[in-house]
Amino acid sequence: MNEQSERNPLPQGSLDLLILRTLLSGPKHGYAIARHLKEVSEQVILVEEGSLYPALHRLERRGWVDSDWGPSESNRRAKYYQLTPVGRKQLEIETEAWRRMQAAVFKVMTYRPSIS
Amino acid sequence: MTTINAGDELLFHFRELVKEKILAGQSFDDAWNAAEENFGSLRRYEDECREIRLRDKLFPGRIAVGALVVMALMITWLSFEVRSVGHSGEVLAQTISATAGKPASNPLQNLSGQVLDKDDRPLKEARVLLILKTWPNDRYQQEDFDTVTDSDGRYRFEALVPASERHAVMVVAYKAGHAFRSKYDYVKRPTGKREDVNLQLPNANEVTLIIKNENGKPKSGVEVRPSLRKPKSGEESVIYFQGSETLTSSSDDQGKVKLNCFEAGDQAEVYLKQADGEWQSKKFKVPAEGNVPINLP
Repeated sequence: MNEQSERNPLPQGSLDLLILRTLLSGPKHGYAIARHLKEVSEQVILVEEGSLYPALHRLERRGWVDSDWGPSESNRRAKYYQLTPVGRKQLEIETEAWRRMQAAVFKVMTYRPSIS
Repeated sequence: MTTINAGDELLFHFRELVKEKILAGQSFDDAWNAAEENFGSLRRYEDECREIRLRDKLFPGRIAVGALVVMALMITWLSFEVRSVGHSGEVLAQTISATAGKPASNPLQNLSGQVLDKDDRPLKEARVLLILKTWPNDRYQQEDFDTVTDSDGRYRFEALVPASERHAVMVVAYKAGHAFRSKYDYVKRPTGKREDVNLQLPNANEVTLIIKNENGKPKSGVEVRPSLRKPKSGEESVIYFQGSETLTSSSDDQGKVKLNCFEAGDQAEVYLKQADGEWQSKKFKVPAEGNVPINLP
């Protein structure tokens, strides 16, 4: 391998936001969430399974997602996660915070002192 | 009883990873090894999930410890050989339909078939249980799948079987009012497209089990699952314990549980479990009418 050694580390707290955002388009099982993040990010975001499932269980404990078992595309039992109404609200809050941070980082990264 | 499904969730993800790598061109063995490497951080998952979930106040301490043990065992199982427990049913002869020597165009084959009633009519909404056995890196693996037939009595499991690898399938069709049937197919040297696995279900005779203890007191809440039937004529059919959760019934206050999946004259076997006990099996002959007493200590 080691695919894990090539993965870019996610900023702390980002994984929760990314999972909530991924679930906005509908219920997904863990594998589908990881695949969505990998494909949409063009292979930049590669979530470790060891991080993904604790994050999902953490979000479920907070009430931001809930889960249910159902048949997968291949008729195998899979655990699907979906946003709760509280989770949708939390996604709005987290997204706004992320935008503010993104704007702030952009300002810092593009700052050029004026030349007098 | 608390159901711990963390292991099932991981197994599903693992299986999907294997499938992804096979479709990307890896051999079955390499895909399995690569997927196991991906799951290298499961130990961290164990600790974190224990912290996050198993300390939830709904879980008493002993069950939390038990759940952790179950999770650890499930995860360890991924890396070790598992002994098969099962019976053999009807052996299906393989028909070679593809040109020998040509590699399969799709590395993963589908498994499909049709379920019919005794009059050859399609049986819709029949439950089809599948046990898939594979040997990646010469280590035995067993997985369960299930689906329901459509309006034409047809079922399909997609991208299920490695086209070039030996495998075995046990397919069971079940519908209340019809006696269940199974077929077992071991493919040692795959050479082409899989034939459909079709099953025809005879009508069932309803049989009522009356479950009592040694003092004659009815036992309620006893879980019952059908396990095996051997008709007067014909091959026996088997339902593996793994994957048969959806076929569970429970005895009522009078200790009665009705089963509608055996034929009169069958030598039948069921799994039984009391609330505070382990699964055990019981055999009986299915009468044309009347009840069947079952004694449980």
